[in-house]
Amino acid sequence: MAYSRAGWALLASVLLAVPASAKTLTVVVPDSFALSKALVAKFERQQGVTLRFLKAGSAGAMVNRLILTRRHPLGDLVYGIDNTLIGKAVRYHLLARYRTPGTPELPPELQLLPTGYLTPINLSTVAITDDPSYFRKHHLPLPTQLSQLVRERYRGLLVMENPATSSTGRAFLLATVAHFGKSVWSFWQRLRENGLKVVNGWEAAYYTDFSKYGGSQPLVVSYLTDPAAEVYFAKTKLRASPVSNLLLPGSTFVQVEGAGLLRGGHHRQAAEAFLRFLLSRAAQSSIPTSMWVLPVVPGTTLNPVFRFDSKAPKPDQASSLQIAAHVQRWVHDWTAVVIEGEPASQVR
Amino acid sequence: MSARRTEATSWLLAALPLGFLAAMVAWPLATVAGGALLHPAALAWLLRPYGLHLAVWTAEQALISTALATALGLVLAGFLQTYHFPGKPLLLRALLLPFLTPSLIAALGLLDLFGAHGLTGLHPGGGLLVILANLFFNLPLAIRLCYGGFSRVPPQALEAARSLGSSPWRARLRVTLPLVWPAALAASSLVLLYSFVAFGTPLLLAGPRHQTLEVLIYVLTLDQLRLNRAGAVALLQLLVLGAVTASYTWLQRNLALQLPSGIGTSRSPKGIGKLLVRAGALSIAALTLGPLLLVLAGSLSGAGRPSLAAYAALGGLQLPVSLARAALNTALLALLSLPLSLLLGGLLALAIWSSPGVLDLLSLLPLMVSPVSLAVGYLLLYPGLRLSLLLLICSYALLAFPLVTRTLLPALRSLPHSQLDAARTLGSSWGRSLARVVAPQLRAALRAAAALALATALGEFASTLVLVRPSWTTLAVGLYQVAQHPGQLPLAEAQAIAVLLFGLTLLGFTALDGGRAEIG
Repeated sequence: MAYSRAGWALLASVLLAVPASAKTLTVVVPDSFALSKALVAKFERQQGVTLRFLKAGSAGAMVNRLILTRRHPLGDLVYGIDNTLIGKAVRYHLLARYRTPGTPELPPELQLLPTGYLTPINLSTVAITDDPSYFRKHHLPLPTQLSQLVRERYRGLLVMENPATSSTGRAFLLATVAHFGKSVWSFWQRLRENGLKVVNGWEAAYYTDFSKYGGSQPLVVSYLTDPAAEVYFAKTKLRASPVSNLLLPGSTFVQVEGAGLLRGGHHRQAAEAFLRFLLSRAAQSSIPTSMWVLPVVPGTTLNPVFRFDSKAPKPDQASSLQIAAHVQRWVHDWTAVVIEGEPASQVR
Repeated sequence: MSARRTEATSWLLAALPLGFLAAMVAWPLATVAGGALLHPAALAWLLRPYGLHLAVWTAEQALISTALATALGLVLAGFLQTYHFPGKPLLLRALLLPFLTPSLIAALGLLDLFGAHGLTGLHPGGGLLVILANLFFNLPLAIRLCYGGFSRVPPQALEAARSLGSSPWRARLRVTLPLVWPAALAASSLVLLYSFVAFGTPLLLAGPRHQTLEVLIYVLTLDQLRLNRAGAVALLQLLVLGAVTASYTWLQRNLALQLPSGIGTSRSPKGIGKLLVRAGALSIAALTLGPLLLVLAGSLSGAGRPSLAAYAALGGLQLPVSLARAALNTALLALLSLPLSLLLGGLLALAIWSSPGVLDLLSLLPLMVSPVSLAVGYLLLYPGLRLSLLLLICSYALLAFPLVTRTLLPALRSLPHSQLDAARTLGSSWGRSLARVVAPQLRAALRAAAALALATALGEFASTLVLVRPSWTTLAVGLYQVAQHPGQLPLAEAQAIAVLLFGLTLLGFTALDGGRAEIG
């Protein structure tokens, strides 16, 4: 046994050959993750570690991958588990308990429950983003109710993320469940029949299918921060954003994303330091323009571009504990109706 | 006595490969399928409209691909056999290229033609794309296997038919076709097998209605975490593939006892016929190599003009590891799996050679099970970190060693048994006669086998995608990650990675094979 172990260690060191000198702290993140280089360098200097970010698909797919590999975790920390996914993460014992000092107190419906596993880092509101130029060009009025999306005139205009793989899609599904109640599945069945497009993650939806980026859907399930982001990234200085949000009742949902320690991860001290770092003033004020989310710490100064942000009334939404009790069932039902084409009547 | 001795020896030789198959196929599969058997609801789900639809569609696309590949393969192979033209040996050899092409590269070629900004401006449905990709991989295989069949037809038989008054067409229909038929059938069962488990192209190009069962297993596992349903699908797939494989070995065994090979004659037509033949040869080349050339061209253009921008941009790609590291991972993993593939494949080939039978079927077992469901089984069975590296290497070997066995077998079968018997009678031990008599005559086949095994490992995608830990990201996985977000990064960059990967594969293949591979 000993010699085989030595052989493996040799092989692993050849293959894994991570920079052997420094401690490497590995953070598992969803595809949409971004953090400024300066910030990363600052933390690495402070702690004397190398940070490595492992992109593991959209948030939902990332959690699934973490579950399948939980006996030997992919990293030391995870970032990007939100209030729609925390239940699953806790049920499969992915997270180690740690309460980061300085964690801000959030309103009860936005807390990442059960507490003690995830440190909330940022907030974002899922909403439908529209490409106004498309609607102008086609002389179409913008829809004002979710239920109008099943009409013939809006056929094939909406692209969304699969709730099984994407937390954005999951959040949107939860918003519709809260809005429609029992009739939600017939809404989804009619939306499917009306040419709803489903993709695996937010990036594919926004950058491939959204008409603003050359795709064929002028409506995309995305975020309230899109108008601001489009102004920020525009090549010329803009007075108004080229995209806007459709604030249809029952289509918005506040996502609280958090970070936490992975059970079985290493470098506990550095990992805890990273969580504290994410709550620091420097990180909180930089995260908004790298990931287009809002800081969780109150009083953080925001880039002025955020004045282009859409403002929405706060949706009336369930807490993460209530969500955890039902969300898997809902995602399964959604899959049956939208992907597998089962009639809504088949789903309770 | 000797028959029983040989049988015992052959089982002894097969012990290691069989153990490997048990650990790498039987047990994981039992784990995955067992979960399904304990949950009747998962099995019942297969009978819901969606499960049925995908099962039917998977069979449908495989059968359509098989029918097209076999029919076209027969015609084109007949054409290649009948006519001589400059560059024919090169073309025959080039027909191996698609077999070496990692599946995603073909998908990129198709995107080039039919994607959102494709050259043709056409947007066929995902279903058609899946079939086209199948044809790209399998038509050359069918041509080569049928070509082998044609070259076994003795010219005397045709001449005899002609001198007895048959018209040329009638002679072909009544003499050639029955003789080529077994080769065509063997080709079609192989095409059916490969098309049935198509993964890369359907994953990237087909929507939820045109997935194959193999993609469904992946989606159920990694996207939906419904392992029992994934197990049920894997079970269904195993049953179908088992039946196809059994018929393939049966055909191949009957085929192997056919006529001596390599006496075909071909003629060089004159005048307009010459032009037609060259046009025919060119279109075969275009059909089978077109997508590869498109990917190459795509990687070398930016904004409609020739440019190296895509290659320059590779340095800044957002992959879990640097591109150089991904290339190194790809090469290392493939090289590490090579000795294992050769050992297992070689042992099994020897075992089958000394006593064919059930072992022959077992050697094809790895082709019968879906790499994705096996990889899922590994994740459940062997969750340790160090093991998962070993597993990745083993799963490459698992896919490659049947090819080694298949490549070595024809060479072994063409060895006269008398030589070995003579060596044994003269007092040489089994091992010694193998080393002194058999091995030297197998050198060419061994090199070809190693080349195929390496190419398989370099391009492997399905099980890697499930098993890979981000730090071992390979080129194929990196390619998928880039190609999956085509809006964010231009397609050209994915194509540049594809060119790198294909270059690596071709390099490894040529270095090992030295120019003479045949697939048995």
